[in-house]
Amino acid sequence: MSRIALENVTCAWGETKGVDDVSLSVEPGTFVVLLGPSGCGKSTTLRLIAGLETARDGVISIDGCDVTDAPPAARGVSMVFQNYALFPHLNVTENILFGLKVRRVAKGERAERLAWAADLTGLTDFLQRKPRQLSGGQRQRVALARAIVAQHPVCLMDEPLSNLDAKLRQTMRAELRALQQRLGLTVVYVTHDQIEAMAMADRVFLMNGGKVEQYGTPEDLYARPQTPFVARFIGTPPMNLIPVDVAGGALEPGTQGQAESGDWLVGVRPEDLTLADDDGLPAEVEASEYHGADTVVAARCGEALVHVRLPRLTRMAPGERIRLRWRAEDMHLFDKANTRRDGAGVRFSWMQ
Amino acid sequence: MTPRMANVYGWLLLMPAAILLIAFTHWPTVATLISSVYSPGTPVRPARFIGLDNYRLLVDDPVFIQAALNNLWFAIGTVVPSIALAILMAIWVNENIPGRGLLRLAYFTPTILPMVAAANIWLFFYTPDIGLIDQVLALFGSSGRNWLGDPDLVLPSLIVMTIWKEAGFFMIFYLAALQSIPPELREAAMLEGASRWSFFWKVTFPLLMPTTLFVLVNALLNSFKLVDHLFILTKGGPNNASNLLLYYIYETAFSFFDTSYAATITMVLLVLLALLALAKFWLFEKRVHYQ
Ligand SMILES: Nc1ncnc2c1ncn2[C@@H]1O[C@H](COP(=O)(O)OP(=O)(O)OP(=O)(O)O)[C@@H](O)[C@H]1O
Ligand SMILES: [Mg+2]
Repeated sequence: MSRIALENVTCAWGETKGVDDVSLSVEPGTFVVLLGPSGCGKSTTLRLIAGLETARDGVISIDGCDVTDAPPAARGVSMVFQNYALFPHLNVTENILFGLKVRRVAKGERAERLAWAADLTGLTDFLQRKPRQLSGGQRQRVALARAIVAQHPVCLMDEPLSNLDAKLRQTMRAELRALQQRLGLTVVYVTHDQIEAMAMADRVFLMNGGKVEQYGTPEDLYARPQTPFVARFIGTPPMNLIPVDVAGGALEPGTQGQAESGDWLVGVRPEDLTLADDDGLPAEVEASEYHGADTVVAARCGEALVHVRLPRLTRMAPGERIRLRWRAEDMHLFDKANTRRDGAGVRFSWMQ
Repeated sequence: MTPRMANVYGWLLLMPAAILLIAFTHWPTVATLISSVYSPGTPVRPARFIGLDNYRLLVDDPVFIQAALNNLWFAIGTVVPSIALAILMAIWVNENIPGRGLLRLAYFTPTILPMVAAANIWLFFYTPDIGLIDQVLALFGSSGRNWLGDPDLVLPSLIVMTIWKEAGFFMIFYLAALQSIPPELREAAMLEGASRWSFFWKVTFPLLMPTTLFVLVNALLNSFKLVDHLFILTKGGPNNASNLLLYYIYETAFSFFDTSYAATITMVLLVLLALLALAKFWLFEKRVHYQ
């Protein structure tokens, strides 16, 4: 039985649909990431699960119970807000214990759980401080401690790391993941940062325009994107999408809409591209960036800008003409309707 | 610019405000103090120094004592309820309800009205038998109270009117404060299972504390400064049952023409208000503040 399930859930304000006919299910003890660009409905989905937003349509269930209309407190979930939502007039202890006091948990147990949560989040030395006396990272930990002290099996997090600097974000990422695994929590985690999603998730739901575009493990999303949107969203630099024409089983670079079945997209990851001496896709170098371990070259290929990741330092001057090649199995094909087409059997003439 | 010139410059800049303040606030204060220790002068008998005589008189003046006590009750009776009411109204019009703009305006209306106009409206409410209140009470078979003529009822009647007049004004401050509380706090508390009641007492009310303090001091000061309504409604009567300090000063000076005694009462009121103002600054310095 899945821990959290949404079936055809829609949430709308007047005409604007925040979440449009979304179905998803989350297995117990997994770390699930809702990923997508700004405004795609991630927060709304999370708030629907928490009960802070009401669904216009569909069924939400937690542990098999229909909670579609249940109040937030009855759902057994805790939540970490993007800006932490700490009570500014209460110190760390009072913040962490707020819920337990409201629910009248006995004093002894409260103290025990406080010690436990403070220890797990490394807050033991800050218990008497007010939120404004803490750094961003420490506030983040207080929010986390407040969420885990409830000992709910489900924890929802809305971009909890987005207010931290890059370095701290990386440490917290690892800590969060470790904590989730140690406590066996089911976490639904919202982010717009695909690197965060790839690094932390057991499963990713990639959303776009209020719908789930694709879901699967991070490897799935990276290796087999089902739509050009997914292809573009995952990976830095993102997958190259080159418009091509399909003429009788052969691919021609973008002469745009001449062939009957034209206007497909060929997707290739920057690291799958190689430079060819003789035959291959012609391109012209526009810029190159040296990153240390590799060099990313941006090249113009018809109307598409193609990124090529080359090992180490590879010097290329703007205007230099190159030829690009890739293996047939590294190629992703999307047809006019934006669906993935495997085994279409089409290839460039220079492919073996 | 030399430091010396800078000094001159600074004083010049301060001068307009300083002159106004000294001419219209500080000098009158000193003049009042002087006048309170002299007998009132007439063309026949020039004023002479009488020391603290006037102040001794005060202690035995039953009307002064009554006015002071009335003022105390008036302060207690208006401040706490109008603050409580202001919070309630602010919370209500802060909710997402249809027509809340109108509701806010409605609550604020009494504030826009001049006190004299408000008093006239309430005069109509309080008129025995034909007034609104008596007419409504008549439906339940009880009427004939003389709201403003009964020594036991007159002060409470004034208090009710003042609360009506002031609560809407204080509501604006609370509304602003409520809107600065992030909505996630409410959501976080809801997820923890806090009821509206416990959320109010554990979160909202403490966060409103700076506003409450500010409003409290202002309401207190107001309760000593408000006097307009007495002219319309009661003239301090019956039998001084609704006399307040400021009104008594007015009566003494302009009905009884005892300017030096009026100056004495003014000094007492000034000291009282100064103490309140000091308390206000002290509290704000201490920042009875959640931050
Ligand atoms: N209270 C609301 N009233 C009207 N529209 C809303 C409301 N809340 C959200 N929306 C709309 O719903 C859509 C989804 O919003 P949501 O907050 O879920 O986006 P998001 O994916 O979390 O974006 P971000 O990454 O920027 O936080 C947006 O287009 C937004 O404008
Ligand atoms: Mg969001």
